[in-house]
Amino acid sequence: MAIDEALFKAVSAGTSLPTLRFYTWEPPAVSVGYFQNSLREVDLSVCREMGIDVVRRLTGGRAVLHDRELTYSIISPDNSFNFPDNILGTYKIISSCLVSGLNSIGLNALLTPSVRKAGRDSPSACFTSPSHYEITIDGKKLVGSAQRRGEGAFLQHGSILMEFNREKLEKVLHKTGGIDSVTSTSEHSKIDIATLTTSLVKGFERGLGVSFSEGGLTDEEVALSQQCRNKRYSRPEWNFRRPSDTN
Amino acid sequence: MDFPKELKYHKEHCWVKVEGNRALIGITEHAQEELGDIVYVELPERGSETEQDESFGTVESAKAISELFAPVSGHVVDINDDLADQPELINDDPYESGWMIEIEMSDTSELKNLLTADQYKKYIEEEKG
Repeated sequence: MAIDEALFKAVSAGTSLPTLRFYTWEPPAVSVGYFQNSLREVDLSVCREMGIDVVRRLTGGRAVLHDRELTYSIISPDNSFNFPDNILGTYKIISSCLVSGLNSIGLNALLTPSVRKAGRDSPSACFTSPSHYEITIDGKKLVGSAQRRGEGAFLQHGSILMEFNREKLEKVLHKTGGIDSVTSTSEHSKIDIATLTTSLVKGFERGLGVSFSEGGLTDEEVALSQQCRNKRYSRPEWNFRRPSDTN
Repeated sequence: MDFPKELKYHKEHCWVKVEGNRALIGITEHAQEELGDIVYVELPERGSETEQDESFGTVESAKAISELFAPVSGHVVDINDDLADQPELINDDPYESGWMIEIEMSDTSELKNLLTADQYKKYIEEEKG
């Protein structure tokens, strides 16, 4: 999360190139949306027992369990490549890239143009309600994504479920309505993380008409992510409180 | 789409209603439409300061968090507390009950950087391409 924020800041400031990033979580973690209260959404004692971290995201949406999944993040200036200066247009392009990558390895993923409102009384789990241009297989949600916009750039990140452990999710989150409409790659195909990552990179290259060069973080990005970690993600007052609680 | 003539507009899609050195601020009809249904709003505290073109808050809508950029600098004298429980007021009534903050301006000359209703309308048409 700290690295995603650091990249968002650096791309906004024009000091970093647009970036596509893939990562997994060790230990597993629950991330909650910017406006969520993790004390209300997550069973913290279960998380402690199971060795699961809890972190609040900079982006919106609902809680996600990052365990046996692949997280993508894409950070870019507004209006670069084909990205329009709006939320849904950006979602649509990124989702199309992901679908293209998933289709190339035989996963029958589709874009779902649903318009369900994300209300405050809706279930906790991000995965339990298909929203605008999200990605489904046989009508079940495979990818949950969230976005932040500001300072002339956007950050979108999301979780691609590789194995779905219903029991674990029900233990960890207080509210998991709609849990039957969730799927994972393992239900359809035996794909490892490396193959999935490579196919998604190619999906983005085709969809955006670019070619990515692989690289690590720059020194500036490392320093910035350390700052973000110290300021937010390592602090209980960030992870366990939402903006309206601190005002 | 409605852009009241008596308001001034910032390129980051906030409107400003000026009364003396006070400025009432909200987001435009165009902005609320682009954002979709707003579910949460984060506003600054009373007594805090805003700076022109700098972020003063965020809204969550359609699963994105979008930053709000201040059209003028100054001292936050009031915030719309109703938005905490009724963020939909921003969608339903962006120029009246969906107002966000009131600022005591520290530099009224900044107002010259803002657009008229006609200029703003033209600006968003160009932005859409």
